[in-house]
Amino acid sequence: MTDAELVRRTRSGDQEAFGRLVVRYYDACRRFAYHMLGERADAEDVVQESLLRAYLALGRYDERDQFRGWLFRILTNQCRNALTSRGRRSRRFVSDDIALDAAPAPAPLATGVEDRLVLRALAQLDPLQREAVLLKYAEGLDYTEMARMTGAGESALKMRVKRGSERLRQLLGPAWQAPGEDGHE
Amino acid sequence: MSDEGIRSLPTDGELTVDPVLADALSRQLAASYATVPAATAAELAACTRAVLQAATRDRAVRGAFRRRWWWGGAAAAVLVLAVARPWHPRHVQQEAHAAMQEAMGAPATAPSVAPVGVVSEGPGGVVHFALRLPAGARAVSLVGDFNGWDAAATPMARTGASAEWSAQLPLTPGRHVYAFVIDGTRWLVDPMAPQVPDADLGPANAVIVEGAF
Amino acid sequence: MPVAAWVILWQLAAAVSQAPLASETVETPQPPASRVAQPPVPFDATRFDSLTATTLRGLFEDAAEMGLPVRPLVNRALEGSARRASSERILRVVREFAAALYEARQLLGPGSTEGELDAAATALRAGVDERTLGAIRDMRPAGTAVTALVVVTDLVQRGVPAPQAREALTAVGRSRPDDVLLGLQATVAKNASRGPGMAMDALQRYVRSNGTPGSSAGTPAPTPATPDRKPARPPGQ
Repeated sequence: MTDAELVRRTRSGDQEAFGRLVVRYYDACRRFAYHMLGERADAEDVVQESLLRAYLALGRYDERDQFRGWLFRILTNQCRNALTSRGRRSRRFVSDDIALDAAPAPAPLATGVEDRLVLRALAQLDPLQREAVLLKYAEGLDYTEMARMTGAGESALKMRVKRGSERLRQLLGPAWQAPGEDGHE
Repeated sequence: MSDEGIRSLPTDGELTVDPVLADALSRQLAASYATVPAATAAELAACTRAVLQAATRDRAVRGAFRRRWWWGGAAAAVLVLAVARPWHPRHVQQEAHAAMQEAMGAPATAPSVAPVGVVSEGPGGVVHFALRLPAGARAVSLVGDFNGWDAAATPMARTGASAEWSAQLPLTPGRHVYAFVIDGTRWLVDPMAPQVPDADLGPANAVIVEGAF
Repeated sequence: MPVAAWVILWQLAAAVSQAPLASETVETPQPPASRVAQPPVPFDATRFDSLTATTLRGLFEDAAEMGLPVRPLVNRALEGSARRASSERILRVVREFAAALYEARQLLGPGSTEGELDAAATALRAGVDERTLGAIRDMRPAGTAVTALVVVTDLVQRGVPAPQAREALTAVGRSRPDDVLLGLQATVAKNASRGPGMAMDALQRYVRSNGTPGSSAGTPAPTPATPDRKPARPPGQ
């Protein structure tokens, strides 16, 4: 059954259909939110809030849109809101130099510690860069899709991906196999 | 921290990410994504329930269905359904409790009935089901996943003087779930045979038929 | 940069972002077909009202799309209809059972047979915990776990606490074949009706006479003691 069909059914009051949409998209939403926010509880709250807003906004959903993209648009917005309100409460981001010295040397890649490593590195990115890097490299979107989702221009998005990637290379690079000395263009 | 800057539009080359770096990031993020566990059935159900309940409250407050004139009626219907539907967890727990009590070694239905079942396997994968019922019954059926749980499919034959009932049928190797239906309406399980509980549907039995499976 | 390289990298990123979860390998092999072909289960839609039948077909499709076996779901729907359960309850059962099948596959691995997934989903819904399923898979490779799953479901249903059920199961099952596991079920069932505590007594007696005592549930077969480990206590103590 297509997403569009499930949406149609949900609109006409079929709660089963909505349950199936949740089953389809919950994991993808949670993975993204977890990497954006860095904490599981926050991620689950945001996912639930996003699903609630999606449910309430189904009247505005255009079936020609990809449902996943539409849902992710809501999700990225909710993640931004969560970060903004969190930022107001406490300053998490210290100056780059101090953060680098204080962070323990990244351990070599091992199963299970990867997410802590990556999350710590992602947390040090500007939220917009973090979002762009995740959409590009974790979600596999192209810049056109990213522009539609975030409302930003493609150049701005490319800049954020570029800067975010360089920052991540600084933070995570020592833990990777050293890329070949050649091969840079 | 704005990264748009005032400088002139960067060239495409300046915006390009080193492909080796892009590849490494993609792989690292994919690995990190993979460590996030899939939501359990319970988590998914809880999230769905929470959203629907919150939405019901929200709609009542926001009147979000003013968009279309007929959505008001539909919303009212959904509200009534959402309130009247037994979504409350306590309801499920009560049923689960009752069903568990039925299956927990005690006879499944009326206390006067203490069925004794025997299942044995003969040659050719033919399985013999026998059931002894102390109280009289007019008709007993064997139902299970091998006959679509259809009480008409495998009626059991009364054998012997006391109320012993039996049926036999060929079953493919592996696990089969079954139960007995008395007089067309009363469901019974063999308390000694392996229990297959289900909080929503009620108890059944399992038999495992030999063979390569 | 050559365009082709970008295209390849983008596709790599897209493909990698679809990577399955850590419990499966990236190159997920297709689960082996059950070794004996089961006859197809007809879905008698006439036993349901048309709305329910349509919803059920949708749920079956969804499950098939996720690579889950559909036959167990059809069976549950037919069982529900035979028990005269309400449509709402039938749909809830099928939906929740599908989620449990999915969980079962996560826990038992992608090579699991349909019978194993069916039994494991039932076990999960009966309250058997994930660690127990993992322990069962450790001692019974793909396709051979059905009896253990049936037995542990029964034990838990009869009130044996999950950790004791797991211990007993692995102590016996790790070194003895399935008919000895069925013997465990039979003795617990027989003694449970005699009074409180009788089931646990019977369980422990059976394990002492039939099992291999030991703390680890992961060892597939008793191995000779290695120099850096204390030798296992002889069975029957």
